[in-house]
Amino acid sequence: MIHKLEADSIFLEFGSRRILSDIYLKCETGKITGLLGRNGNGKTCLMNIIYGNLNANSKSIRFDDLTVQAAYKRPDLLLYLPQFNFIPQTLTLKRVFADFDLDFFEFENRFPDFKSNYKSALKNLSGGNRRLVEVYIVLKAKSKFAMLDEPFSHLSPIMIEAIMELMNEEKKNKGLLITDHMFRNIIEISDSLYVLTGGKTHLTKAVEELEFLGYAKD
Amino acid sequence: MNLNQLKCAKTIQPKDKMLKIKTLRLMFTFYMSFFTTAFVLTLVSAYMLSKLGSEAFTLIFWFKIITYGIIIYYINNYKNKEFYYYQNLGIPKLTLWIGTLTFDFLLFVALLIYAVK
Repeated sequence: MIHKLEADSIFLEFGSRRILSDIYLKCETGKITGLLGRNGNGKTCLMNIIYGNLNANSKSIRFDDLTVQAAYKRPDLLLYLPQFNFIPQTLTLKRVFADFDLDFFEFENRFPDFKSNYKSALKNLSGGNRRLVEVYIVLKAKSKFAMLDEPFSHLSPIMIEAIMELMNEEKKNKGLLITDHMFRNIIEISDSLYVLTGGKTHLTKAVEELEFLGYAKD
Repeated sequence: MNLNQLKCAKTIQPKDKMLKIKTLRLMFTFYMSFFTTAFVLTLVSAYMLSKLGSEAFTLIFWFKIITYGIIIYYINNYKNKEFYYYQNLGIPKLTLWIGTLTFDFLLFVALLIYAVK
């Protein structure tokens, strides 16, 4: 079944500074939606508003046409990978996989480097491996949508390739909304691409538009 | 209750139980992030009460409340990233605080009663 996540009528101001004003964003099962934008343009704010962690002046977040104010209370609907490490460092991989009802051995088959890490605490992993575990968890855990803020940060090119492959597999089960500064990866993997500039989202149809929107040089 | 409803109830019950166990386990994990500090403060409070007598109860009560404020401030500012872990598992920040602080306060009261006796 195809599910739909829509965000619009979002208005966000910090004091007199307008951050977001004219937003429309749609994410669907079977599709990867990319979100690009320069630093400070409000990508993370937008994700936090969708997740319900940040109060906007106004917003409308709908899952299959039903308004959900606090998506963070509904992990069955939406999971969120923030741009920083979020799993408590003292927890072991065994515990984390058990919490999310995931099979560690499936993970181990895909990433054999983790073979001896089943009982390791996250604090004993390298920064890249820790990030890989977090991205994997959010992509694989049961939910209708997943939002990933900078999933490729700290990952090696081989890991990025493996994660992109996993995203393409998982999009059959859930809608994915991703943002990252590694825009070539985002362009490559996205089925639809939005650029956030001047507080507004622009659905882009061609890579050349990125230059026009002031995001990247050709 | 018809047979189908009964079958349904039987299959849902263990799942609910598992969910409750998981929630408690997650709250326990969160509680452990400030347990040592909170427990030491409770022991200090109990010791003070045993030395100063029950007249000092009001002072000790407010001492504990103020330390709760400091703990909440510290965790909310320095460990706030970890809240996303619990949220991704369906436990909001407020639920974590209410659950763990209620338990800790009951522990505090129990130890104070023990200290007075």
